[in-house]
Amino acid sequence: MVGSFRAELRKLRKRPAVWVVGALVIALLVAFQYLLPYVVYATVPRGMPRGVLNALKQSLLLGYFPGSATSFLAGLGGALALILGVLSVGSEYGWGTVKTILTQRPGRISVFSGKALAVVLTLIVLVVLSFAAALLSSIVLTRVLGESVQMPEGGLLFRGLGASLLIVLAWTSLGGFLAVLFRNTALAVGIGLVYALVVEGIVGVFASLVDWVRNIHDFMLARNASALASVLPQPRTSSAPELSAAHSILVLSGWLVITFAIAVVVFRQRDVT
Amino acid sequence: MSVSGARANHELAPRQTGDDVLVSTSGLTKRYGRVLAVDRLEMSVHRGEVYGFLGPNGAGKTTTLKMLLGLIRPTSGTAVVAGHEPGSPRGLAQVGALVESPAFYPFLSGRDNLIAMAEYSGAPTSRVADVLELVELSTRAGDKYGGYSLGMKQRLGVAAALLKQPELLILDEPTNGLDPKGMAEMRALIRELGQGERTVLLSSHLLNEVEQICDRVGVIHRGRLIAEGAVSEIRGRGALIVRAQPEGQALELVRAMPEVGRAEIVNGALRIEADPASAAEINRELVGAGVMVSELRPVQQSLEEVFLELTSEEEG
Ligand SMILES: Nc1ncnc2c1ncn2[C@@H]1O[C@H](COP(=O)(O)OP(=O)(O)OP(=O)(O)O)[C@@H](O)[C@H]1O
Ligand SMILES: [Mg+2]
Repeated sequence: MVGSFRAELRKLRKRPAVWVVGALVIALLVAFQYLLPYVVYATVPRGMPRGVLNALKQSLLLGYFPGSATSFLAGLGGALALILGVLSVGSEYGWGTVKTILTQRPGRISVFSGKALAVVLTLIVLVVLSFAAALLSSIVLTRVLGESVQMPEGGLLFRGLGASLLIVLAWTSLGGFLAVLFRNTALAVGIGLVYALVVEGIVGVFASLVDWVRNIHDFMLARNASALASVLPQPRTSSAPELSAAHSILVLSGWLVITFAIAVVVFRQRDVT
Repeated sequence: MSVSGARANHELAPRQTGDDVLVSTSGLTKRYGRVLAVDRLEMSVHRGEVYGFLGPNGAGKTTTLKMLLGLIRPTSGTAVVAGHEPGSPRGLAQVGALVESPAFYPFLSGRDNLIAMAEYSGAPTSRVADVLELVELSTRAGDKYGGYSLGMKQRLGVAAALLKQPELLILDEPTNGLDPKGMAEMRALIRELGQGERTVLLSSHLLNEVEQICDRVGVIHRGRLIAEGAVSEIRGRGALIVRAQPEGQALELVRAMPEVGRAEIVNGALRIEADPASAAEINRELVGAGVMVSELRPVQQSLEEVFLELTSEEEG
């Protein structure tokens, strides 16, 4: 498995698509969590409620950066993590390299776990870099806004990192699962994004109207990802989060474990034709 | 793609496991829905030989080789490869393979692809330079695989198969898509690789290729192994084309000769089954009987004819 892990790392490191996805995560995080809100705040339209304006400003400050980074990774970042998961597995089918690596030496389980470990390492790096980008952006904006530069407490930082990692792991695992299922990249990305961006949205709309739909919605991936992010201190105008942290952690872990387990079993059993 | 000096000896000395039959199958069957791709296949490849696995398109060659590598599971039947179950890590450690078309990562260079494969297989990465040189790809090893020509891809595939210094080399139509020069080079390389103790299992749909390279051949047709033996055995006695006048008399005469098997008129000439070595004798007898012989030559039996013969024997 060590050999597979090394080979997978080599592939991930040298693959342009991985760098593109990584760069996109950082760039969009800075743009949507910091640049755009700052521009809105600086060129504030008249008549914007004070509360909203204040929350907008607070969200740019250093004290809230773990929450900002995590919120981003729970939303758009999650979709990009899903794409990363699909790419790391699905492309092997597109290029036909599954058969090449499976005729080397390690068994299928070993190949798949080596791949999973390499992807986990990549995600750790991605989460840390995202936090670093958020940290830098918020320091700069805190200065620009003339507020005092005050680091959030260490515990908050680690909770943010942990929550973010769990969130992107769950999304990536879903991507890998879809790729194994469809033995393909395009279809897996398509279906994954439709689920993340459309299906959950529609279910969310009905969830506010019907009780049993709401119960289902409370076990969905994007819903729990953003719920977990909102447990971290955020300058919110809204009330406390409706799902407990424990619930969200459990549900996200469930998604992670179940999608991964099914992917392993299918990958192990199915013919490579 | 010649093998030179010290490296040649190195290449020709794979690891060994002991027993004499390296690949054997028993009742090996693969069914895809209604298609019976491989049908109760019984084949055995002996240690040290170059075995030709011969069959037309769709005969079941690739399906069989994939079963031997553990890529697909047989519907029924079993196989033993290098003393192990197909696809088991201990078996795969002794097997190098190129199945169907070569498949590597387009964004990695040829060298990086091989390094990755060495990492998967546990082969020392120092092997990479050796195998690159062996297939004469060293000068282009730094280029991206995505930009390789078909011939270069094929050679990289062979190089990857050699990383483990395998006892058994499985090559699925390795000359597919190559130009005549590339084909000749690939065949020469395979011949070199098959010398000594290494066993090569080579699939092909080209009779003359198998004839050039292989010691023994198994013929697969519609998923069944219809013959297995030395190339000369599979070929049968060979055939002669005889242009003679009058035709009818010539036909009667050759049919009466003990050295002649089947004889018929095809396209205005006699086509007779006979050992080409008996051509002079046949000629003498025909001329002696007053028949004018204007042409007499041996014919290469095509794969189709061999199949026709083998299948008609089986059915008859
Ligand atoms: N994945 C699959 N699904 C359905 N049928 C398949 C599949 N793979 C192979 N077959 C069928 O099995 C039969 C044998 O195919 P196979 O690829 O083994 O032939 P082959 O001898 O390698 O042919 P070729 O010389 O064209 O490579 C064919 O009829 C083919 O259509
Ligand atoms: Mg084939």
